[in-house]
Amino acid sequence: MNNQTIYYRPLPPKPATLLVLERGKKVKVIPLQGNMTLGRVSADVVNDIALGSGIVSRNHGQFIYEDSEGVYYYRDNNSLNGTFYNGVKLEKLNDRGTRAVKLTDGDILRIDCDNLMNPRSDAVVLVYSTKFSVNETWHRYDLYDKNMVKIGRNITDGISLTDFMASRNHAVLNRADDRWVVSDCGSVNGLAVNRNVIQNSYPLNVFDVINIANTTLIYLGNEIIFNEVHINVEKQDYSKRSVVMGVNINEVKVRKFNSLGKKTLLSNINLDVESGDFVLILGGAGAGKTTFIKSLMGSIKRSGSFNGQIMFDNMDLYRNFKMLKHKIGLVPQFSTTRDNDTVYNTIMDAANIKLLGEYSKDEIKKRVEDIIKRMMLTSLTNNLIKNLSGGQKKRVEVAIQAIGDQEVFVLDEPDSGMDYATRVDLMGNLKSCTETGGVVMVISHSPDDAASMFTKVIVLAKSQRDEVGRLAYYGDVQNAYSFFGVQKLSDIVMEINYEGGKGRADEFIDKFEKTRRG
Amino acid sequence: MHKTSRLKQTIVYIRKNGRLFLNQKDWKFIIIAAVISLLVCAIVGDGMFDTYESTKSGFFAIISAAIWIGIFNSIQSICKEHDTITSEYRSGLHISAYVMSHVIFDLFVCLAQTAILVAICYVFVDFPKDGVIFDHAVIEYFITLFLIIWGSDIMGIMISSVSGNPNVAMTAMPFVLILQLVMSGVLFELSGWSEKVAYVTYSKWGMSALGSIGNINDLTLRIVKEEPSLESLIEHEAESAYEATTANLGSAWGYILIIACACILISTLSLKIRNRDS
Repeated sequence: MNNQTIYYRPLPPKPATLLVLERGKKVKVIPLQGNMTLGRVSADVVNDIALGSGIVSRNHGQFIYEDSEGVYYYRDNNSLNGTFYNGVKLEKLNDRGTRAVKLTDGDILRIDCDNLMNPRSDAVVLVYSTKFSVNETWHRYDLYDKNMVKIGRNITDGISLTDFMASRNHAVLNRADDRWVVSDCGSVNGLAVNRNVIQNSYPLNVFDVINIANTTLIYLGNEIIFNEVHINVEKQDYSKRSVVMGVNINEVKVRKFNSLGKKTLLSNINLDVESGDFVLILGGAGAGKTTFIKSLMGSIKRSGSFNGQIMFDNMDLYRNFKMLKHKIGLVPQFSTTRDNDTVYNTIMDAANIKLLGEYSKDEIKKRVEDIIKRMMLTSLTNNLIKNLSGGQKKRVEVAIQAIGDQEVFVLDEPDSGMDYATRVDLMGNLKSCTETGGVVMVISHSPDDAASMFTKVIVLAKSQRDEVGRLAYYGDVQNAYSFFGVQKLSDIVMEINYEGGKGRADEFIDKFEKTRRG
Repeated sequence: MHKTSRLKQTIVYIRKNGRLFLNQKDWKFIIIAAVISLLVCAIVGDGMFDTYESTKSGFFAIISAAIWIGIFNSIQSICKEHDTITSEYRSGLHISAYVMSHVIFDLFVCLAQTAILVAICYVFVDFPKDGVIFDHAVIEYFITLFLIIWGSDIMGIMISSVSGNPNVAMTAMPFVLILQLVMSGVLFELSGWSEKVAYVTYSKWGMSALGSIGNINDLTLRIVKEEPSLESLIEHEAESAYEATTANLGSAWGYILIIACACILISTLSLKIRNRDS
């Protein structure tokens, strides 16, 4: 690994752990192993996670492992002081306890008084994580008697991080009116406080959790604790899959061309996309495929309204759009490259725009050459874009998107107008982008050419009841055949289409909804 | 979130503009500028500095040519790239860097076009040698014509940024040109609102600058030239816009630069608004 900051890419998930913070006590990282109880140390009740603080009830809460989903839930057992989940107190649901909340990496559980701005001295914070290792080293940095503290990679005069995804001059803490304020110093990968990306500065409260790439820093008032992260990106095992994008679309409306009103185009689409997925997006005419990918890109606001949530790396895409938008690359249906520039210069310029701030010219050149090789464009580097075939142009566009370490690529009909061999070739190139944990999502009207390459299929169908696009299927390719009773992926569109098809969209929408509900 | 700096991005795009200039054969704009300059100067050359009216008309024709040359350089440069800009903006492009790269690259094209225009003007017109600010008037003519061509080029960038596609931009171009010509104050006397509108046109300030350098207030009226006996009867009222003073010439150049800056700002803002959700 050289001395450059590398772009943030979540590492493959580790087994779930709980970071336990009790004031005055050593930081503990407890592995979660199935269902576990949480409570105060007591002679009469034995808890899997036993805490010393008097604010914790003896039978405070429990962690519930949902085997089918492979995720943990937390529920408070109607304890005396309750539990705050990401700053919101869990409400009583019934006599057994509160509703169970699904835990995702970075979620913060806190047992404290109702005024979180003024925490109790015996408050407890639990951070759920799939990033920490049990044996990880945690450091303390004393803030006493200091007015300014730098945070960066391998620095000598401040909080020194080992994470290669942290910039050398990443952030700074400034004391202002007895309060510490954290500011991003124009870092490559940004910083988040309590899972919200901070664009400029943020005044810290005790127990705020700061995330800088894979490093976690927790502000405790007089000190900051942080973990020591050692990453070798090349040696990461991306076969362990994690959810990259959680799609929860309640409703998407788009302005109608010929009126002032808005029309609902998509409704009730919920799915999780995992690292390494190569997803085919299928749908009949007017099913909302383009609206769907615009929603995934976070760019639906201008032409309509979006009601829902797209979670990207456990952050809300729409709330953290400026930071996250770079990580989702779109290859539109029609070329956006400049016809009169060469292949090499087009890719090199794209790399310079994205990377010149943090990478040296030699490193950028090497990246460009690597991507040119991967996209099989080596013999075409000096050709003008206008002289390339449709397939070659698409490969250039994919190379432009791939040069900046985007995690998700969305391609709108990349194979239109291509012959069979070129289509298969292109899909092979795209598949290669998923081998290091990236996600590729493709709208295609010739899906059977590369059916075996896709890991998932999303089928959108326009309901005849309300003319709104809904999810008719999401799952693997093999199950899609049996779900729709077809031999080929292209036949799925025939089954659901009203015009020129069998018009069974509503039947499959209902069937899929029932399947999901179990 | 860190992005490549504006300066570095501007340099990347200036280089790209240079390559596209050659590959798209955009150097033809320089040849077109030469042809237009030749035509205009050949027609107006004889009458320049002969009488007040002929000189004023000559300057008006030269300014019209300069505005046309400038706008034509850039009118399609941005509107044809809207989809590309959207994609690049999402990848981290600074809109201001993109606009400035066009402004800076076009500066060199405009310099070449100005050199050609001035050279051709000097072939056909016998310009007075003394300048208002500099010793040699040729420097002042060069600066004035360069500012008009470059400013018009920047106005072309603005129109191109605001226009959705090349068709819209090309439709808007004649309207803008006509507005510039009408507002010069040469064809019609301006008063009321039209006089105020003229303050944001290059033609008004360009005429003011050239009239100042040429000191046209001191030139003889055509009627007096034809009938010298009328000289004592007709008073040639000097126009303040053409005062041959440093302040007048400097303020004319300053207004041209202010209008150009406003165009850059509008261009940047319009592209940002267009791509606000990208």
